[in-house]
Amino acid sequence: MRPGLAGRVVRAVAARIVQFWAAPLDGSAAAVFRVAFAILAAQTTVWVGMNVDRWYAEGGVAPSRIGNAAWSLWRFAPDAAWMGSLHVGLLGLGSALMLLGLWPRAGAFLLFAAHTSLQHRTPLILNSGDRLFAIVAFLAIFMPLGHRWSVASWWRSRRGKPAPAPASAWSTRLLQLQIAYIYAHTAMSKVMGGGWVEGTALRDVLGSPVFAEWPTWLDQGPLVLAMTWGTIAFELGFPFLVWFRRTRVWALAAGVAFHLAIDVLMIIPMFSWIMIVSYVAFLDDRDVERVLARWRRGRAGVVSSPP
Amino acid sequence: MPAWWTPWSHLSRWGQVKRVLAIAFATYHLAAVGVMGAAPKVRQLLGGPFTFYGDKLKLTNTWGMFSKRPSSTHVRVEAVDEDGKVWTLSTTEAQGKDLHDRFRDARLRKIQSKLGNKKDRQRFGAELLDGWCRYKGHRVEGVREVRAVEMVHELRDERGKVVRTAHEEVVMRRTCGRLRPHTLPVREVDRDGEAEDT
Repeated sequence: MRPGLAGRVVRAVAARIVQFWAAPLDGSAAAVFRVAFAILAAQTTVWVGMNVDRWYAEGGVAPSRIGNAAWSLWRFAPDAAWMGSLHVGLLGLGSALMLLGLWPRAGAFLLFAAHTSLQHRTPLILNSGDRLFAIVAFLAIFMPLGHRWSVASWWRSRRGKPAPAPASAWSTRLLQLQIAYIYAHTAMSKVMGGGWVEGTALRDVLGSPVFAEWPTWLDQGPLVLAMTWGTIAFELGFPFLVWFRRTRVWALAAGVAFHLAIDVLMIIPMFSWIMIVSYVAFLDDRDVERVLARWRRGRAGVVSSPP
Repeated sequence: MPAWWTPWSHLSRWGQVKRVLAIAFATYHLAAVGVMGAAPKVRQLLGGPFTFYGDKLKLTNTWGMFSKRPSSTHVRVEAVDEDGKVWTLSTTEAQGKDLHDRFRDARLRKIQSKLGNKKDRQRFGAELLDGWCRYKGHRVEGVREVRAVEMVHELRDERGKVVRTAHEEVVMRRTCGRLRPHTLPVREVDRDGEAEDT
């Protein structure tokens, strides 16, 4: 017996939901994300290493009383001078495991745990980019990070073991939704006030002696208006356009340009790069394979071309 | 359903457990992100089950900070030695720094610029300045006090008229006393007020 209209609608909706949350992934995009995130994590490790004495030691500038060490690893050894170095070690180990693809999920967990501990120890020095770093590390724990281009996959093939079964997309979807949510949330906050709807907000931002790389008071009203509204338009558009194959590449390209502009014009550590790295999660495995194949062909062409 | 979809009845027991856990976790995470990112009233009303996840594990956040006007001003932490000579220990100004210092000081701005705010100064200003008393770096002999200097920038109204001129003011002082450091990281301020690396 054929189902009625309501039954067909329910089945179609259920199929869509399943397609969205459980689509099989071979791990190519996750592998590129893993490497990019590991590089960012290594940079964070170097920064923490350079600042252990200053921000993460009792003899430094910020004693643990400033933060909430009870929720950090310092809880177990509040006065230990080596605790800061331990965090650097954990971050470094996590970065290396992710970069190599050797127990990459354990690596992601180490990054999340160590970074969250640092956030509790001295919260006042970190910004939203740092907060996002830990969130992304946590969600990465559930992603198929080691399926492709990893020591784990190399070791598997060397021992003649079959490739792992495709992974379900749900964890990647959580990361995608997190990124889309950030834009939607910040756009809605901007629409509610702060000179964004009036079209003047970016004049304050670009003129800020603290945040702007080259503090400049822009008198060109139309230019300020276009940039301010352009920012809101991008942030409102991205959470919708990124889900459709046809518009996704444009949304991501606009996002990369947007964040590179922020990184060049403003002094905000980490945030732009963690956003750009997270964009990789929006790529299809097939697209990643296609781009890499083209890159390999290009390299082979360069190598084999006559002088 | 898509051809690759395995129906519930065809899953192994472990596969069923994994599917339930994934659905439960994804649902909880999305609810946490939505509730903890919502208005304070909503957070107060529904936030209970997500407090640990959001505040302790720090897995949720609000992202409205980018919508605020950037009102903070630069703050410099200075040391004054026994001869009255002033040394810059730390500044939120990034423009004059070399690449190494810029990278190292990348997260200095937030905590230090908060010293320009009275409530924040009362909350942790003393601890922070005492920390600068203790902190070891390049040698400065006989530090008498450490102080926070706010560099208030020029402010204009919508028509471009200057409503506040740029100026500097000491917003907090701490005598180092027995915390007096043997060494401090500094840039010396010369007679013209220009910072000079030592």
